[in-house]
Amino acid sequence: MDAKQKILQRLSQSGMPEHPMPVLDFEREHFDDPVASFRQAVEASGGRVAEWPDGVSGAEMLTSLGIELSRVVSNVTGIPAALDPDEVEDPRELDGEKTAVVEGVLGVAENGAVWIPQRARHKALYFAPEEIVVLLPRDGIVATMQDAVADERFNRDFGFGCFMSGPSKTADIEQALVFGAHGPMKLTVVLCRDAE
Amino acid sequence: MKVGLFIPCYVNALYPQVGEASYRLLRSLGVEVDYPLDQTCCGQPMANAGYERDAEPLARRMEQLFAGYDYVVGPSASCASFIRESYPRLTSHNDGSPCLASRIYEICEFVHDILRPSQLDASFHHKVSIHNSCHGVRMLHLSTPSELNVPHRSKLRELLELVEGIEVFEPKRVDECCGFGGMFAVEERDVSVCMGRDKVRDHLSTGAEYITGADSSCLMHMQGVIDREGFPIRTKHIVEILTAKE
Amino acid sequence: MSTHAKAAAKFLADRDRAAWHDRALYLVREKRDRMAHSVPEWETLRQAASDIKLHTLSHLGHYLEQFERNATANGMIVHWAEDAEAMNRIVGQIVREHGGRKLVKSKSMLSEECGLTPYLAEQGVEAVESDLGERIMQLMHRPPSHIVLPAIHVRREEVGALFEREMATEPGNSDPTYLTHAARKCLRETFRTADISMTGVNFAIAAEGSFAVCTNEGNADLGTSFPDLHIAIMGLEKVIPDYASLAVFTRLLARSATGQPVTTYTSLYRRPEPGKEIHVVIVDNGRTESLCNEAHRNMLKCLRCGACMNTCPVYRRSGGYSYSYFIPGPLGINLGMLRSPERYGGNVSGCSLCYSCSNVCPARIDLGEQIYAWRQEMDADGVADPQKKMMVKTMNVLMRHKGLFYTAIKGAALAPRFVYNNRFNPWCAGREMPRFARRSFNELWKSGMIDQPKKEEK
Repeated sequence: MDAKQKILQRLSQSGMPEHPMPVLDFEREHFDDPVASFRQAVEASGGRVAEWPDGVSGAEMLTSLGIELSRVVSNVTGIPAALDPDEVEDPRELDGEKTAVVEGVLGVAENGAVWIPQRARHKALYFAPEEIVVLLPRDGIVATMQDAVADERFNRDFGFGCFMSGPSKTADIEQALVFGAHGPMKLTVVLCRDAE
Repeated sequence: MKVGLFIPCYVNALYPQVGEASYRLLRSLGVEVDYPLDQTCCGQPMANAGYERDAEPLARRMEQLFAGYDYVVGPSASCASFIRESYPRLTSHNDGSPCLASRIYEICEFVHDILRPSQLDASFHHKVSIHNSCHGVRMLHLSTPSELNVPHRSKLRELLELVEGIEVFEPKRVDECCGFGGMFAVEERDVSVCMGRDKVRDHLSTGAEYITGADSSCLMHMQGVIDREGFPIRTKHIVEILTAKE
Repeated sequence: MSTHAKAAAKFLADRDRAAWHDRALYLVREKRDRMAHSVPEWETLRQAASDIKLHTLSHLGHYLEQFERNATANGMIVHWAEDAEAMNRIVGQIVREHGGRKLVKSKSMLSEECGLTPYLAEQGVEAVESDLGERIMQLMHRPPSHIVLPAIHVRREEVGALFEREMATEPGNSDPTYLTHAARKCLRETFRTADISMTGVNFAIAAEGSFAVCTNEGNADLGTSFPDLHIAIMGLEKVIPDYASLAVFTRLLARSATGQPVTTYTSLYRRPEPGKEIHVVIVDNGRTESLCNEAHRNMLKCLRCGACMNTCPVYRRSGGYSYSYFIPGPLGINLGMLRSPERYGGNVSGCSLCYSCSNVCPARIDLGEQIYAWRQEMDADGVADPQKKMMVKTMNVLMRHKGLFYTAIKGAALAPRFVYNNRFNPWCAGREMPRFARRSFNELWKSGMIDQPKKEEK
């Protein structure tokens, strides 16, 4: 008998009585203004929230956020990129003084997290650059994590995905909060017009 | 309504005035109170030390002593909660008689929930800090545990607010353990003493003159620390305040 | 004195440091409280988490097989390990087949449990911790003292001195921001040159064959971004049914752990990138045995958030190293007893039965009640403290014989105070004894000194 069989056999003999799966239909936290709550939560987590007004180009929008276009790494249509991350062979090339501009799908009002499914060749794009800008359609904001995973836009057929809330942080030295542990040191969520 | 007064062993030996105040409080609220003689111990210290089964003869004796009473009421939250939690495991009630566990009350709980007075004939012109004891809070729900997100209430505060002239405070760490814990107090004496000092300091920082609560055991432990350190505060069981005239 | 009591006394000998440790952790507890009180359905969430875990545990074989099936279909490779040795062997084998000498690790209590890092070192593979707190502890050659805040007991000046030695930081600079960024720079080299990455697993989602890793630093995420091999190790209780369950747990986890609404990164791994491999090792190491233990199987609901440690008044004042099991606090007392009462029974005294841990646990594990239950089993297991046992037996005799009891307290009342208020009485370490009343309540009642008008009417 191999390890798996032995483990499964032991589990089948645990004598633990059947416990039903709970129905998760309880009332959930409600936000009168989910966008405002989302903004607050992102800011509380150390990130910032900006708007992308209609009629403004990607370059103008990024410049207005103080981002040097020469640092931009992106494969998003409409974003002027100095480097296309998908043309890079070694993901280590994405490391350094760069600003990744990526697409988020859902924003969570209760905690400021943005659901970012991997839409690039290397997932390093989301973690190696010093700064990250996440473009998020305004109507992608939902109330809670439970609403997020129940949303049809939470497409389950991803390779990798991340709920990202604010920049990388740690408090491992005397509980003092420091931004920029290993992931991006800065995070900006840019709210865009509603998705098509 | 026939009420049996339960006086825990250490209250009997160390704090007879708490027993007396309990009696007076219940009497003043029009309750017929009796004290079954020669009570000893409910068995909690043995059980918390890991010898719950050794409490069985004591539990049987308690059941006999208090067989005829509608309610059994005592000035010790942890003893009351022990009886309520553990006696059903320790004693059998095949004859259908109501188990002591279903009739035992900590005295504030009894006054607050059953007697529900709208006023008390008591005055205490002092500042007091409420000691929310662990078993009082987390087992008997004398106040809402600070950890839980449920509507807040405090039975001790509601009762104390019926006392004329009193000013009621609570420590910052509102229901942090004082470190008594029965055998814990001697087995882990360094941690226990440290917890006791921290707790007394927290009470002190409210500006109160008295620490009061529903557990004489916590008060005993903290008074021991106060006496050793010379802290300018004293302990007083809540029934002494609910019956005070000062 | 128990092993815990002895070690706690040592920790408390440095009063200032102990007070600082207590305050630092209580702040985390307060942050947790603010979060718990800000979510209206908090208590419902806790109940749901508990129910989901109990349900999963009662169908654990089914969900593990479902996870394996779906993860395999997604292109991951799943392994099963019966115990620590098997896990280490499997990991060693994967590493050998892949090749490589440097493994970048994110925090995993399971690797501590199984002694993976020393095992790999023997195989010539260096495992570098990448979580800042874990890295600090690794450089100090000490284990973590908390499961979520590994270096919570270390002061900034000590980190400064350590980094000065190890990373050539400025002498005397102990600013947390400066030190953190120095570590960032230094570990970057490790991330870039590692051949293999390793993470733990916070949740394995059976219906999807994916798994979640939660961090704040992004170290797991960055660690898995460069190498082409990712090994994830998981205790078998980490499996959950579906994303709806995951959402419930992610709403609770960080709020309970550090008082944040969610961890910065909740990363879901489902399919390896082309040309890369993800291996998942499912580990038993005593967990199936725990599941058979009716009284204590609740422990398997644990999310490893550490809230029970932050709230524990004893842990805060005795430190992580005062427990002989590698996991401290209420959780460690319980898990240690499940592992071996003979080896870890010395931790069970480290609990005042305040039950705060049971109230903060996001999965509603009755941690305090279980410690009480373990105490009841210790005598039968032959691991009870003989001195304590003697005290209980003496008390039994006194309390079972009312005559003896009242004679004893009368004697105490009449005895000179120094007889019991002295340094041989453990109570008097830091406390004065209470004074025995000249007349007990019983005696007062008997002599009619308690006002009792009703009694006379009878």
